[in-house]
Amino acid sequence: MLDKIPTYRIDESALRSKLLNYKVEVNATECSAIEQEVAAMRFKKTITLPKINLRVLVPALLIVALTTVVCFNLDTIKDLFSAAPETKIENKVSLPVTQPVVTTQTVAAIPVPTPTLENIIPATDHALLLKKQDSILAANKKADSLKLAAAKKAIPVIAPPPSDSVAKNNTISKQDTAVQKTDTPVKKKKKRRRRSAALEDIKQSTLQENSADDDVVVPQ
Amino acid sequence: MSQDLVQACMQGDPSARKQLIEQHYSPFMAMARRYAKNNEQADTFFHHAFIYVFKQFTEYKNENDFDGWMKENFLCSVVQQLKNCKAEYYVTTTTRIDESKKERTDLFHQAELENVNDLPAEDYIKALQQLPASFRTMYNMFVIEQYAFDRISVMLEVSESSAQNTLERAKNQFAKNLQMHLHGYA
Repeated sequence: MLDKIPTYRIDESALRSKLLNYKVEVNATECSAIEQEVAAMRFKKTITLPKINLRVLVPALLIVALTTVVCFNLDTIKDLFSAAPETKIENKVSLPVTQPVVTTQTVAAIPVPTPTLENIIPATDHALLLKKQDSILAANKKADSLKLAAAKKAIPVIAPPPSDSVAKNNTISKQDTAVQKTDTPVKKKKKRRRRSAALEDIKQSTLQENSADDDVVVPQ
Repeated sequence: MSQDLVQACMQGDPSARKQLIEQHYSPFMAMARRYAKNNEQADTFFHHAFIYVFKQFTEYKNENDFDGWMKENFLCSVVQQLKNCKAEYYVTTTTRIDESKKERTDLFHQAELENVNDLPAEDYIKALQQLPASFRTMYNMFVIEQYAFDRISVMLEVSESSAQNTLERAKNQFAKNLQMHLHGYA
């Protein structure tokens, strides 16, 4: 079986020429598709960076870096690095800024006492005259009368001597109160001492045998 | 003439563009068919490669051999597209050594020969298309384009020895494909 099958020797040069001369029919649709795609293209030369050898570039960059270090001093750079961590913000939750609530309170206008004829306390001498005058004059009169009333009310009354608590609060008469404070306990102590001394004396007298005849006066 | 045509194309002349495409359609489509596994793939290869060549016009420096320059760029694009089809290209390159030794038959130095030059070009192309992608590429580049091994190894990113090995197997497989195509068996 194998003997009958012819073995093929492929002439490569002949094959090459055959395949190179092989022609394909032009496909118009394919050509038009390529043409449209090429029409959209822009034939502009791109800017190409010059090829720089890294062996030259790296030492140059190092020199530049060193010079900057020398110029700016190491201390300043250290300060920069040291200051940097302080300025770090570690996930601070930004609270919503609460705008100050401005409440517009409507301040009630202080009631100005309107001068009326009822409030006027006419003086006996000028009673007839006041009735004829304007309300302004009457208001003045009323004000005068009010002042008089206030003056009457503000008649100095001799106040009772201030108690300890009042004295403490009174800042003006501190020295007086201080004196009073110091005086009163001493007196009490003296009294107490006197009383206690008297009591002791009585006790001693009662304890003594001969003291029964003595008149005992118990201080009250 | 070609340089003027290129300049006109770059300036946006539509007639020059059309002329250039139609002029180079046939040879480049034939080349694409040799490298592709079928005519459909050849169409896509041709389209992308031709666009690539147009994009490279900015790099063209008024060389004398414009056709050679264009062909080289076209081939580079086609090879790149083949490499991108990794499933097709790289799987077939790994074969057992024992198997390859068994299959070695000296088809190219047979005493009894039969002239196959009378066969039409389509049959050769079909036989080529039936080869695995790496074999096909190697065969085309070495036999048809007549590139040296060092250049092929650079373009395909393989060593020269593996390129030689691949070429040997590609030739063997191609002969088998031709036998199958003519007689229906290998």
